[in-house]
Amino acid sequence: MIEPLFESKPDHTIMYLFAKKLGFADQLVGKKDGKQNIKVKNDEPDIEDITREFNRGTWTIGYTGQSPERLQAHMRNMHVFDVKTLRARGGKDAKTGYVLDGDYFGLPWPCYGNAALKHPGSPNLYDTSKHVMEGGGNFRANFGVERDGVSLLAEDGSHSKGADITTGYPEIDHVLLKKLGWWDELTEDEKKEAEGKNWKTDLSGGIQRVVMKDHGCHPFGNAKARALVWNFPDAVPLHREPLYSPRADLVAKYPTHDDVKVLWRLPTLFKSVQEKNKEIAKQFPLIMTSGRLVEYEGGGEEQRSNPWLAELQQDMFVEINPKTANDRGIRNGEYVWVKTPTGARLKVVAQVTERVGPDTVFLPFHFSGWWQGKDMLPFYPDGAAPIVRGEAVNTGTTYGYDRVTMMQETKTTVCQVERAA
Amino acid sequence: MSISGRILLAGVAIAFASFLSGCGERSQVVVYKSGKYQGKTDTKPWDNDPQSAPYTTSKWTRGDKTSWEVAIKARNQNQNEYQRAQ
Amino acid sequence: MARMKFLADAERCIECNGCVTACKQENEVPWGVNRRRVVTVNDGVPGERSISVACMHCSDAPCMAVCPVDCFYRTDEGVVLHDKDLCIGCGYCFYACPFGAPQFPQAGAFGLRGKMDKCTFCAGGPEKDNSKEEFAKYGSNRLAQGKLPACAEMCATKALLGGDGDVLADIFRTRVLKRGKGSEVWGWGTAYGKPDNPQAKPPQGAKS
Repeated sequence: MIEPLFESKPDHTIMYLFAKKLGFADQLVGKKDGKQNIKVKNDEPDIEDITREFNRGTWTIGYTGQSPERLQAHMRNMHVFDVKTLRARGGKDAKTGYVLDGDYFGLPWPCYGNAALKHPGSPNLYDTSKHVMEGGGNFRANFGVERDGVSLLAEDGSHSKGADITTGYPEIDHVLLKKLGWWDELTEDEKKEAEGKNWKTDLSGGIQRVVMKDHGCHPFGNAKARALVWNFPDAVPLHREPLYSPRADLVAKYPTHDDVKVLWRLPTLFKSVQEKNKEIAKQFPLIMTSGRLVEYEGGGEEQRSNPWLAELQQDMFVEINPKTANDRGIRNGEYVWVKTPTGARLKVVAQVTERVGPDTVFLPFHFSGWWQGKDMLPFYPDGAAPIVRGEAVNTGTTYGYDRVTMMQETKTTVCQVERAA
Repeated sequence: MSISGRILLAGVAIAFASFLSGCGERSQVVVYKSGKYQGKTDTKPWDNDPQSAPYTTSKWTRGDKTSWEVAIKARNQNQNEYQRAQ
Repeated sequence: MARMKFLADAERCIECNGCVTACKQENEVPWGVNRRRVVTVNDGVPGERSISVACMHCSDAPCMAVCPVDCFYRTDEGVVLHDKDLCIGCGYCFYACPFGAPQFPQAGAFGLRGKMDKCTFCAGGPEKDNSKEEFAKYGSNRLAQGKLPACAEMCATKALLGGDGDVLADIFRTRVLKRGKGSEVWGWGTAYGKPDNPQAKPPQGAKS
């Protein structure tokens, strides 16, 4: 455990303070009718109560077995875990008497059932060579049981080790459990809770216990992975030219998606932007890609504040092919302007190299602190400026979103490079 | 000899001694012998107490060069992933 | 008898500068002084190779031969060290060294050359081992703690090996025997294994 540095606060304290400010702190900690699910001390919600809360609410994804007591037992007994397999070889927690044998360290997600089921956590997803109670499993039946007359369930004989059902099967609910004849393995209390429910809504955890522990099957069913994603705009990925394309002919041949009026609540432009910028390559003929340098991470603010790492890259640069550079009268180490369709201008040092082709330039994304040729040093609070500053590449990147994930396009666009006079 | 005479003699002696020591002043400049290290001597790594080393698993007997070399060679195998992967 | 050596494997080096940073951090080397650096040749063209270079602790060290004040000495383990109290910062060793190992901290407006600084194989210098004085002048003394140089121990791909020359030779021999060398190291076979049917052709006429 590392205490937050300086005036930093723990994440959950920040969340609680925000909730308080925005007026829903009581809902956040489950305060109602004189009862409160999550205790709060000095504005810090109790971390064990938080863990119990998400244990209660995450049946579908297997965040239910990681009770605070089990996790604490792991932390007290790190020495019993094998460093290669991460599995406990024997061991009993001296404080609580909890038997650690067979648990994977930290109960890696997914860890099914309630804590009493003692699912060991899953070191690998979809490992059919292990029993489900040893962390094994199979593909989830998450997309129905058949499509266009073809079964989506697993083929006969494909199942996790030791499963009583050796064919594909759908997810388990009370009806299927009764049909299988496993219903009476539930306790009377569990039956009351499980009646009319499926494994995800049975809050007693009884269905999961019977299916996993008694029969070695997976409550979420046993199905095939699907390669045809019929609910995506392209069931199989198709090539579509980016909105800012260097090739008008490819825009005509591989057009992007139509504009969407409501995509995750927002109007999102695709085709109209692409059509408008069909001829953009006349002005901006180079493909601008951005990426990572192995010694830096993210925006690089941390690394550039560390003298030992800042020294490695002291200037924001653009990798440019010798041919491209020569045609523009640019020499290695000179300042250049990288201009993009947004109107942004980045002042960076040219690194003339054959790492990139003549039609492409590369910029690292680890710099910030300059804005279109100007060092923003005076605007940093005293002592907060990184040692090395430079243009941030995303000053220049352009509009665009992935049609499915809505991930913004901040990795590539088109640009023009010219020598800074 | 009177007491004052003794003090005088001692005073003269001290003055004479300090006068002489001026003649014996050593050169401020180091005289180098070419081709020979003349700096400070260094301690041998094995002359250190292994207990005083933080965060290490290397164990050797203080002053025993062979045991230190064995410890270093064992540690060297951490750089051999063909060994580590076994 | 152990003789300390570095060995850099150009087939493995990925130019991550981890060794450079490890050295700087371990020895708290100031900005501008590079005890170790990664040199890349044929950058961006096929055949690009990187190699990590520092003082190679030569058996017949040219720096030692040319030093006018004889401040260099070689330890029993074959590590070349120097006494900064004797060093006059003349820079002859820098001219003599084939690896560019000696570094000179620049001080003041006229770029006054300070005392020479170089890789110590993490063996400190002629002060009391692991004392404050030793750390301030020469950096960490890992050998006296039964450890090996930080750069080699932290190298992620184990391109940089450091330690007893005999042991390194064994490690490297095993490595070359298992993987081959030069062009044998790279390519489809190494990345994905040998094809089951080398004569197989990709299906023709199928267009997406």
